[in-house]
Amino acid sequence: MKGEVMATEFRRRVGSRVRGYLVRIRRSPALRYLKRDVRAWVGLGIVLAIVGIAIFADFIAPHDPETQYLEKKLLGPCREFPLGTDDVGRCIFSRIIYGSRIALTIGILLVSVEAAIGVPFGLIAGYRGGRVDEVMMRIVDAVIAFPGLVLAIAFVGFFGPGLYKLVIALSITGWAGYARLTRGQVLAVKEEVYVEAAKAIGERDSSIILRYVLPNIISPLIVLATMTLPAAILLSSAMSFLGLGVQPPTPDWGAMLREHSKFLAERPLMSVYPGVAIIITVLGFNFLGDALRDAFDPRLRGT
Amino acid sequence: MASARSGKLYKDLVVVQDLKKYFETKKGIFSRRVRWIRAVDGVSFLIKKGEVFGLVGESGCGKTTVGKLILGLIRPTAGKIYFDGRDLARMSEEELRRLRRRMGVVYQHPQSSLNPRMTVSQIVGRPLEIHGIAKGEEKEKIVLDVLKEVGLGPEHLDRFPHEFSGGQQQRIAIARVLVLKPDFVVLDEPTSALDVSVQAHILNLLSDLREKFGFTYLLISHDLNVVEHMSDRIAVMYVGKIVELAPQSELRDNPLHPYTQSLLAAVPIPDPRYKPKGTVLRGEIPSVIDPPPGCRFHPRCPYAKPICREREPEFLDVENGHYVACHLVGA
Amino acid sequence: MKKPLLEVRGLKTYFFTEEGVVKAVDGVDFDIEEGEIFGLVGESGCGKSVTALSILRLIPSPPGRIVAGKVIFKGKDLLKMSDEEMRRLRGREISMIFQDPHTALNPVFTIGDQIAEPIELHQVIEERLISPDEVPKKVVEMLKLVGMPDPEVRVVEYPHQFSGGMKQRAMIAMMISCNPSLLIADEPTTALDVTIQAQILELMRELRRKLNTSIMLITHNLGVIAQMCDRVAVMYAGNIVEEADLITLFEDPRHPYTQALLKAIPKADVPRGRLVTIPGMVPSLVNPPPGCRFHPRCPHAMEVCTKEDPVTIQVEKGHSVRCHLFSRG
Repeated sequence: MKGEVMATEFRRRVGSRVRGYLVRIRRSPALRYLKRDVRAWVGLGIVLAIVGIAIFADFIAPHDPETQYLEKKLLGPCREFPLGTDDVGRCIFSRIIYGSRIALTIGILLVSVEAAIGVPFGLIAGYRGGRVDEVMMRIVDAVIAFPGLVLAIAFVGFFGPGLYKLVIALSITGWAGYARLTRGQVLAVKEEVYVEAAKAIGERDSSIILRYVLPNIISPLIVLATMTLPAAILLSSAMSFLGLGVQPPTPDWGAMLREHSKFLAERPLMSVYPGVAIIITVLGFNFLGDALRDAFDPRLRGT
Repeated sequence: MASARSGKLYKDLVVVQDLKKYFETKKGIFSRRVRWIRAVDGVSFLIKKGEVFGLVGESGCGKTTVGKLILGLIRPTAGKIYFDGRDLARMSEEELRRLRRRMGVVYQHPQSSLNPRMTVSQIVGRPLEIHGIAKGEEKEKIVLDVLKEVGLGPEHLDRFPHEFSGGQQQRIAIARVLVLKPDFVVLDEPTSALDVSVQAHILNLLSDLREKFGFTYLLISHDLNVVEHMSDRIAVMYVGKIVELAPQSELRDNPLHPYTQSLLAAVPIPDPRYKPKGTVLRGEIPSVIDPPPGCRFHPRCPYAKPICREREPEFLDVENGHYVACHLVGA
Repeated sequence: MKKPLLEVRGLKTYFFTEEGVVKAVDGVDFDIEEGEIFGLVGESGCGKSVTALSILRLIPSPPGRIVAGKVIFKGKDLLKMSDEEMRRLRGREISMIFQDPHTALNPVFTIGDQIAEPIELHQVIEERLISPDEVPKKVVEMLKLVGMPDPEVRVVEYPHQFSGGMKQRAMIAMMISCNPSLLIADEPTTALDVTIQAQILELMRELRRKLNTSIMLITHNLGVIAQMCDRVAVMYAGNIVEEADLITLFEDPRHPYTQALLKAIPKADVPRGRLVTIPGMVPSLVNPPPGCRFHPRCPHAMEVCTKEDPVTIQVEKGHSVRCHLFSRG
């Protein structure tokens, strides 16, 4: 009985808390700005479309992306194969469709790994300040100075190609951007009165970072994630294009570019399809990221 | 609700002896020489249990820094601070953190002193969680009671600070202090950012709470009207030092230090028939990096003598708890 | 009877926002005489700053607009003037100083250049045209007038080298360099220390004495009003609720809001006790309460207060109140 009462009370409190957050988001000036921004709608549309395609690939794609119809090699667009077939008879359309899964997976995975390393790094450096901050930021500076792609190529050259190795390779340098941004934001928030007020009520440093600092720097981090995701897709496509990323027969757009480019003379359109897929996806996320960045910028909120 | 007071408290709840706080600053990018900002430069006073102690002064006088030092939020460069008989300098960070349970702060700008990402119930409930006083349902109950004390209700629990007016935000900040039933509360310009009518509400609330729960207040403000209305004793600070300290009525009726006299004369009184005594004080407030030698007030003092330029005056008890630091006021 | 320098009649300034129409100033009438210090007092959001900006036609439009009224300055209606005529007036005949001198002071120009600017623009000092070589001398003269220490040195310095009080003096110098007939001061000393505030207020009194400048002093600080003004108007939620000469306002306030405001100020000589407070909160200007805007908080509210807007009544010569308690019948 008591448990039930407590449970309903808990649900009520959580429910109203969540409702409170939703109301806050709905009424926020950022959302109002977004609603009027064309880039937000276009970007969101594209992103949702790509995500939808990735989720429902099984229903959209006419064929399995890896099945080879050897008797039907290099066909042009027709009813059976909307975009034709590649040099081993696979349906290009289906491969493009399933390619979205690969692209999104890489993007999300890479952003997650980079943030998981970079954000705590920046939090500690920014909050502690002094020596610790200086040393940590020198490390970040050094990592940023490294040519990420070259290092990734070297990594893959050493450890061999593959989707997960690709993610590791690219994240070796990718985390530094998150660290730098986080640290900058922490420096700003650290001076806020409510942080001092938290110390005054006896909060521990770790608690202050988690409850007071982090929630207040989430916005720029979201923007960064939205912007680095397409960069991740581009980088991984580049790696796959070089043959160092995702390996066949997995349908990766970059890898497809590599495979199709052999037939640039006879079948120029073949190379266009994966290229366009990459461009549209990247643009979509960039638009959304741009719009989010401006929406969160207090100076652009006007009155 | 359990009180944080552990029974008996020292009569002199806060004792400050020759307190100094200097901040480092480097002039220029390449300069190797370090200049010191002497924010607090030798300040001594005590705050009695249950009283309202007013600390008043203009920009750069160091009053806010004194507040932070007493709270232990920053460490002094020199001097001693005793809270309820315990030397703050001897305490570890962890002991200091636990001591915060007995102290509260209310800041000038209520909006910026509240975490924008926490709800009212979280903000007010957090101190209870931190110090392990209560959690879950019991915590919620205490929070509700405290909100009622400050004039807010259960409908405000799940709202965020920006949804409230300035006056309400300050009430939330006061609730956050109240929830721990501290012994000592620092009020740092608590009403300076509020409208007149809201200020009246908040000042009344602070007085009522003090009567009900027996708090000791350190009231820091540049607004003499507010300080005189609330305080039992008042200390006047100028460029890092206390120039005069006296009971409120004594200070108003018999200000001894020339700066205090100018300050009192300069405060606009809402009474059209009031003619301020004395002339308007000339000159600018000196910098805390390079204060004038001798008595810091001498460049602006209408009564300055040669000795004022040479030697700093001592802070002496002139009579019955009326302290002044001025060469012209004999001991 | 000399005609007033400034006559404001039925001024209404609204802001058209997404949340609705904010009726910041909703029918305001007052006069300012020559050489008078006129105080406009009220709490935040009452519309006093908007009133000042409306007189100078500096309301950002969108979203604001002066929707009704007359602002007659030296016999001419400012609201009907062309933009060009208005521009010639600003800085020359009517000037404005602000709470934050940063609004007026450009960090990349020297103080001397900035004070010279209105002079060069209008090319008029004390009703006569001046030549360009006279300007530097005038600038130093202005700085002396506002009590700036070492004016010759200050002329080539930049704003960031000045303290708060000095910046305020510099801004005042800039704004009175063409000897305007009316100086609007919007919270000119709120951001300053008490002793510096006293200096600036004294300066303003001197300016009135020496140059016969009329000053419209806008503030929420009743102490400042008491020390400075000849006449005072009290604003609440977009309306002037009471207007009187200084002594009368403080000693015989008639409007319940004025009375409550005076009782709410902490005073040193009041024995440590509770301040009298005004229940409730300042109303939203998008959806103000019907009838008298103060009625939800008024201890004397009557039935009629909830329905009809009160009319401004003259209770004595020079003392008017906008309240149903004083309507005839």
